Amino acid sequence: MNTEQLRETIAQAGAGDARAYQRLLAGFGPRLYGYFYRATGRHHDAEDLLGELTLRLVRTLPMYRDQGRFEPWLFRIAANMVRDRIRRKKTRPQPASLSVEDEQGHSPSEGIPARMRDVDAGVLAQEASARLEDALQSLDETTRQMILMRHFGEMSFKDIADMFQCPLGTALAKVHRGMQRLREELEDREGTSP
Amino acid sequence: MNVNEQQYERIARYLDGEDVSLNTDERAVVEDIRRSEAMLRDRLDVTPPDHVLQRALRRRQTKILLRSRWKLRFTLAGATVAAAAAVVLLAVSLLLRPTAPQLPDNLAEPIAAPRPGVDVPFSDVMASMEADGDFDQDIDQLMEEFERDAFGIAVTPEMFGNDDPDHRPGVRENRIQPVPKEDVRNVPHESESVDPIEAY
Repeated sequence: MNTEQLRETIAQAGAGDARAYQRLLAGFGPRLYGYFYRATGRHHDAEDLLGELTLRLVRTLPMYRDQGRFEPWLFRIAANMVRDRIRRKKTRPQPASLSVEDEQGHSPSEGIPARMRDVDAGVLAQEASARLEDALQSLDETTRQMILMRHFGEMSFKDIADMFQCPLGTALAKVHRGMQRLREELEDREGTSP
Repeated sequence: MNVNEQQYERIARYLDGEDVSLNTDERAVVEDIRRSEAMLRDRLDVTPPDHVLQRALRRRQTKILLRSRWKLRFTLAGATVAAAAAVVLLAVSLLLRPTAPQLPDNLAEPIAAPRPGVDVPFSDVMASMEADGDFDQDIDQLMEEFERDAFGIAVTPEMFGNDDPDHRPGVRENRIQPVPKEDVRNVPHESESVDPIEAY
């Protein structure tokens, strides 16, 4: 979707056009979902946040003034929602369930003996994803958010610096050090994993 | 590959697409960042299950539907309130409308005065006036007043050397200027025939 098409789609979706909204969600939905998943570490949280964001866009999209900066605007809303969700979770205990993962992405069903679990090709991918999730969790909150914004929001470093209200050099330094650490963590975990 | 804050700023501007010349250390940082981003690109991406986007769209449609229902409810409620207010206003205005006073039952119905020419024939009215004897007297009096005023305008009392005690002050200004007495004496009487050629 080029800039002109995106502008047109945003205007139509803001006016209530369901098809334009569908196009918008098809374009940004996977990235938003990925961001939510990596930020919260849980699929059902990501799905819930994506649904919440679509509802919020019904109200906020008509107020959006196009200045060619839709993605930073959209991902800023997403980042605020993640921050609210994390804050709420810290203050409210969550009920335990066998069907959902914990904060580290581990399911209680992992305690069940391996022969009783369904083993398929997806398990390896899930383990790799869990290792990445662990590595991400080892970073501080600001650095993790900066890296996710850079990757999923495709933000420039200037946008990231604006969003986190820090100097441009500081933003890049944090992202660079965070990526270095992420690489080291992943190499360590992958080296030690069977 | 140690770079300071200012160098990071230059690198960030370079990575954002600005035309910035970098030294060797700075270029090494750029390469390192690009390598890290490439490594993370495949690992970070998550493909959402098919139902997720569909469910998000359905939630949006449900929200819009609920909003439109609420709008409809508010509109209907507003219209109902407005209609009720109009009915109450109409009822109050009907109750407070001034009505003609009702006569007590023991009083007779008032009689309207007869209208001349409609309720009473005009000939009857004239006959009644002549029978009273006032008709001629009134007409005579009116005629007298008319002649006196007409005469007063045309011929002023000063013309005859005496003041009319009855004449009203406001009339004087409108009257024709009196002719001097000596000129009046020279005016020939209508009965005297004067030959204009002789007079010339």
